[in-house]
Amino acid sequence: MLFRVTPDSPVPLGEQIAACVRGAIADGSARPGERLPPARSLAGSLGVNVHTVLRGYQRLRDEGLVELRRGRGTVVTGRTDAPGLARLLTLAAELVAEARALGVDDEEILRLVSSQLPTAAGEPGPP
Amino acid sequence: MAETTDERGRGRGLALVVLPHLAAIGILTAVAIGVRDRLPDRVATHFDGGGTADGFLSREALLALALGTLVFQGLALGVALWRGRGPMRRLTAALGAGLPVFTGTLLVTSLLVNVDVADPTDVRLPLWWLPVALGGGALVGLGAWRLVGSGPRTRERPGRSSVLRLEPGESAVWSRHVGSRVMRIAALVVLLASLVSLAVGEWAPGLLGLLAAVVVGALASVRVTVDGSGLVVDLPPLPRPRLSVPLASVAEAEAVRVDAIGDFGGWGYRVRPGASGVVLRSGEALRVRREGGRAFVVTVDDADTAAALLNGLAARRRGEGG
Repeated sequence: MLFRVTPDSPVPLGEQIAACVRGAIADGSARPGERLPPARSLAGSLGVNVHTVLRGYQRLRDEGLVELRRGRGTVVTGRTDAPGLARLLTLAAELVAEARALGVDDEEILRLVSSQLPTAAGEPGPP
Repeated sequence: MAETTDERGRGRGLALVVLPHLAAIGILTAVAIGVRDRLPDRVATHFDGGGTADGFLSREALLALALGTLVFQGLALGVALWRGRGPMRRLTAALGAGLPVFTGTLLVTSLLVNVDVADPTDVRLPLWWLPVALGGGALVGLGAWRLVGSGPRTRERPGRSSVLRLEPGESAVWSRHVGSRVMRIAALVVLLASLVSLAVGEWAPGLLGLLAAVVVGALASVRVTVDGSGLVVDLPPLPRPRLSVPLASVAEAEAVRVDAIGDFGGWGYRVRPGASGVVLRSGEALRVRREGGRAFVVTVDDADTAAALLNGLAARRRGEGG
């Protein structure tokens, strides 16, 4: 699993780490059961705080993409829809980042998404 | 033509392994037939450090054991040679030619010392046979080593290599676990065998077996990490053992395919001329060429990404990246 982070990016480091894992699950390079590196060693390698890594891992747990397993640490979940879910979460994160960059506030983002719900048939259109 | 030279090298190597084994089997059989009526029913087969007999077998069991050893050894080395490539084949040919001289000499000697004795406990093994057998084996092995030659240089197959361009200030890490099914099965078999030993009260072999099973089991899964310090292979959560190639000594990294037996003669931590590595299975592997020429190989999935990142980090360190 490849992790790339840029400290001076506007995206928080924990979110950058989570995005790397989502990407790896989405493109199939991280398969179900694959172990994430222990937070401490990943933090050491990337030169970031352990809590930053743990915050990223916690997000992934909340999203249902990874789970804690006794003796194996944090692993990619076995659910078959994990790659699809990871792709969806990546799109959502990109949508929010794009909207924030344009100065759109959170209320507006929610309204924007729900306005698409009645018309969209499935595939999201071009950005 | 490289292929023809290579096929000839393989045929010659196989002859160097098979012929000494056939010769050893032939001589042993001839000696056994010749002295058959002069051997006692129980023969001395094991000797202590001073050459005094301390282990005994029936005459038939000794003959079966001796022939079985040579046949099994010849088959195993023959298969290893057939699948071996480049420097591995040369090493196997030397071992395959020298070993039957050593084991054959010892087996024939242990037959001969039992000739015309009434009580097998009186049998003594003259110790000067040991250096003679060793020296003879080493000489023949050295001869085979020279005869086989290093083979065509072009046999080192090129791998896939790319460079991951890193942004200035960007940190990047690649990490993956790799397991060995062969070693897990081996650990399980040893574990079961040692539990049986313990159950029947054989404490020493049982405990030794348990220890071996734990060690092999622990080595069956390793972690491979590429980061700003270079390449590290370790066994989490243990801090040691740990193998590393510092980024400063990385000349080039590439993704290759390895055959565990053909390229490295087996599984585990392997050293062979020109390369060392952690080979837990056959297939995709990361190969790092170091400054100074020696290569380090570790079998791992997604080796393309690992190689690209390692090349990118090394390029940035040399001031080429960005």
